[in-house]
Amino acid sequence: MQSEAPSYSRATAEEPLLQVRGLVKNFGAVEALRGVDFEASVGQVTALLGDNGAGKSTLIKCIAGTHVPDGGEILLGGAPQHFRTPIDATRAGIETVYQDLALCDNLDVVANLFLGREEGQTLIPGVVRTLDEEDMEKRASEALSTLRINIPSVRNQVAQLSGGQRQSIAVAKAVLWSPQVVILDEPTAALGVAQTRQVLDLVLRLRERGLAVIVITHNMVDVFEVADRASVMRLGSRVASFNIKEVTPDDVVAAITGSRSFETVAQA
Amino acid sequence: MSEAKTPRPTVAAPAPASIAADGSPAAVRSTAFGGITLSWDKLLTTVPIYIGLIVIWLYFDSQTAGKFIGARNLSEMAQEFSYEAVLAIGVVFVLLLGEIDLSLGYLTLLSVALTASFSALSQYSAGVSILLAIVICTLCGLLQGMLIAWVRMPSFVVTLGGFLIFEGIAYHILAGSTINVFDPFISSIGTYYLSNTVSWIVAVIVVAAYVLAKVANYRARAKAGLPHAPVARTVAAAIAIGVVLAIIVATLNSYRGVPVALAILAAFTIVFWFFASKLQIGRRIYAVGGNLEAARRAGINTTAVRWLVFGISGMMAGVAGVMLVGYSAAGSTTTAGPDLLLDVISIAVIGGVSLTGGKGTVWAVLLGGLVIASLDSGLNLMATDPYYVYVIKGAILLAAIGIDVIGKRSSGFSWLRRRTARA
Ligand SMILES: Nc1ncnc2c1ncn2[C@@H]1O[C@H](COP(=O)(O)OP(=O)(O)OP(=O)(O)O)[C@@H](O)[C@H]1O
Ligand SMILES: [Mg+2]
Repeated sequence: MQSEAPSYSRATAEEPLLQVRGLVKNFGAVEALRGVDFEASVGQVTALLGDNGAGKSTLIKCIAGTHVPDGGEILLGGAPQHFRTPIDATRAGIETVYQDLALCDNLDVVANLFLGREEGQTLIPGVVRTLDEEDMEKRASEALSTLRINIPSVRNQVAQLSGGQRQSIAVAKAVLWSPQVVILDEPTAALGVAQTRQVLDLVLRLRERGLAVIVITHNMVDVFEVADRASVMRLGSRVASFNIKEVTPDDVVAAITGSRSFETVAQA
Repeated sequence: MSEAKTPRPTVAAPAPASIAADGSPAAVRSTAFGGITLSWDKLLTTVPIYIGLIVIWLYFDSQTAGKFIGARNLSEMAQEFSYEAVLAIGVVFVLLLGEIDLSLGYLTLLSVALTASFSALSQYSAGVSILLAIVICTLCGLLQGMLIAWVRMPSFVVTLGGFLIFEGIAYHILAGSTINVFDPFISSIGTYYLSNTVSWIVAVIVVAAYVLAKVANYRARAKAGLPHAPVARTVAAAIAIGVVLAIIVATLNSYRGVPVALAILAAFTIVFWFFASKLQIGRRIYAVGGNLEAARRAGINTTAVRWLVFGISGMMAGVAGVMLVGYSAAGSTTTAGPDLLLDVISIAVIGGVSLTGGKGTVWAVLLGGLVIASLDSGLNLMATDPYYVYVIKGAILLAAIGIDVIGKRSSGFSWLRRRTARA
C-alpha cells in the first residue's frame, strides 16, 4: 500500500535478557501463536501491541508459565526455560501483573504484597511459627516509598483503595521480590487520566531500576510515553518490531491493523 | 502447602520482631488485626446487633419478671448453648471460604451417637470414646472436603449428600432408642462448673496474657521503626476486657460458677482466633475466601486450604456432639439435627461473618452465640409456642443476612466517596 517504510533497527547492541524464539501454542484447532519471536531487554520498556485476539495474552501467559507452549523456546539470559507453572516463572525472576490484578480485597496492603510468601517468626521453636507482621509491614512501607507509591496506610484494606492505587499495589507486589522481568497486562485500561499518569510513572521507575518491562496495551499514547520498543502481533505472529523513537503513531497503527506491511526485524 | 518463597527481597530485612500482634498506625481510622482489618464500616454494622441484644435482654427480663437477667438463667444459657457456638467456629471457617456445610446438624448427631455408643455400649473409656468420635467426624469432614476441593463438586451438593448419609448412620447407631451415658468425665463436660478460685485465676491470666502480648507488640513495632496505636487506647482495651471478664465471672460465681462448657468454648475461640489471624495458614484461608484466583496465582495450595477447612468443620461437629452428650448424659435421635444448622449459621452471620467469603473473625461465635442463646432461652422462659420460635429464628437469620448485604453496599458507597474525594 505504501512503498516507503521506515527503517527499523534493534535498539540495543547487547543481547536481550528475555528471548522468545518460534513460540507455538494451539488451543485445539485455534493456532493462537504461530512461531512468535519476541525479546525484552533490561532497562527498557517493551510494548506488546496487536488487535483483539492477536495472541498477546497467550504469549505472555507462556512466558509467565500459565500456558505451556507447544513449540519454540523461551530463553532467559541465554538459558532455555521450561516453565510448567506460574511459580516456575516467578522463581526464574519473571513476575506478571494480570489485568484483573489478582488482589484480595478483604486483606490489607501488607497481606497482599506478601500473599503466598508470608514471613514468619518462631513463637514456640519447632511447633508454632506466627506471621511476622512488623517485618512485613516495614518492608512493605519501604518498598512502596522506593516506588513512590502513595497510599494512606499499608494497613488499609485493598478494597478501600482507588483503581490507580490498586494497580500500583499489584505492581509493587510483583517487584517486591526483585524480578528481572515484569509483565504488565493492560495496566492503564480501567484508569482515569491522573491515575494513568501515576501508573505510567511507575512503569518508568521500573525501567530506571534496570528491569526488563513488558507492557501490553491498546493505548497509543501510553506506548509513546513510556515504551522504548514495540512488538506488534497479528493473527498469532509478530508482524513488526520497532524502536519507538524511529516511528510515528501512524506507523504503529498501520502495523496493528495490517494496512501496511512491514519487514519484521527478527534477526540480530 | 506449596511454597513460592524466593530469597531475594528488595529491601534489607530488619531485625526480626519477637511476637506477631495486631496494631495499626495511629493515623488510620481502623483497627488492624494482622492482615484482616476491622474497618469502621464493619464496626457500624455490628453496633445494631449490640443494641438489638440489649433490647431483647430488657424485653425478656421485663416479660419474665426479672428471671432472664439472673445468674441462674445466664448460667443455664451458657451451659446449654456453648456447644452451638463451638460448632459455629467450624461454620465461620467454611463461610470464610464462601462455601456452605449443610451436613453439620447430622454430623453433630453422628458424633452424639458415636460418643454415646462407644462410652455406654462398647464400654470404652471417656478419653477413647471422645477421641474416636472427634476423629471420625474430622474424617467425615475431610472426606466431604476431598470431594469439594479435589473433585470440585459444589459444597452445597456434597454436604447435602453428607446430610443424608450422616443422618442414616447416626439413626442406625442409635436404633431409635436413647443411649444413656453414665461416664462421670463425659457428664462433667456438660454439667460441671469451674471452682470460683480457678475462674478468677483464669480471668487474671487472660488479662495478663493480653497485656503481655500488647507490650511485646509495642516493642516489636518500636524495633521495626513502625508507628503504634496510642497507649491510652490499649490500656482502655485491657481495662475493658478485665471489667467484662470480672462481671461474667462474678455473676456466674454467684450461682454455681463458670460452666465447664463455657470454658471449653472460650478456649476453642481463642485457639482458633490465633490460628486464623496469627498463622500463615489462617492468612491463606482469608486469601482463598477473598479471591481464589489471586491466591492460586500467588502459589497458595488452594485445594489443600479448602480441604483443611472442611476438616475443621467436621472436627468442630465432633466436639459439639461430645459436649451435647455431656450435657444431656444421653444420646438419642432428637439430641441434634438439622435445626442446629440454622442456629449455627445465624450465629456466624449475626457475629459479622459474610456469606460471600473472606470477611469475619472467629470472635463472631461469642456475639452471635449470645444472641441466639438469649432468644432461645427467653422464648422458652416465656413459654412461647415452639412453632413460633422457628418463625422468629428464621426471620432473625434473614435479618442478619440483610444487614450483611446492606452493610457491604454502604461500604461500597463509602469507597466511592473516598475515591471521588481524592480525585
Ligand atoms: N484458553 C483458550 N482456549 C481456546 N482458545 C483460546 C484460549 N486463549 C486464547 N484463545 C484464542 O487464541 C487467540 C489469541 O487470544 P489472546 O487472548 O492471546 O489475544 P489477545 O491478543 O490477548 O487479545 P485481547 O487484546 O483481546 O486481549 C484468540 O483467537 C483466542 O480466542
Ligand atoms: Mg489479552
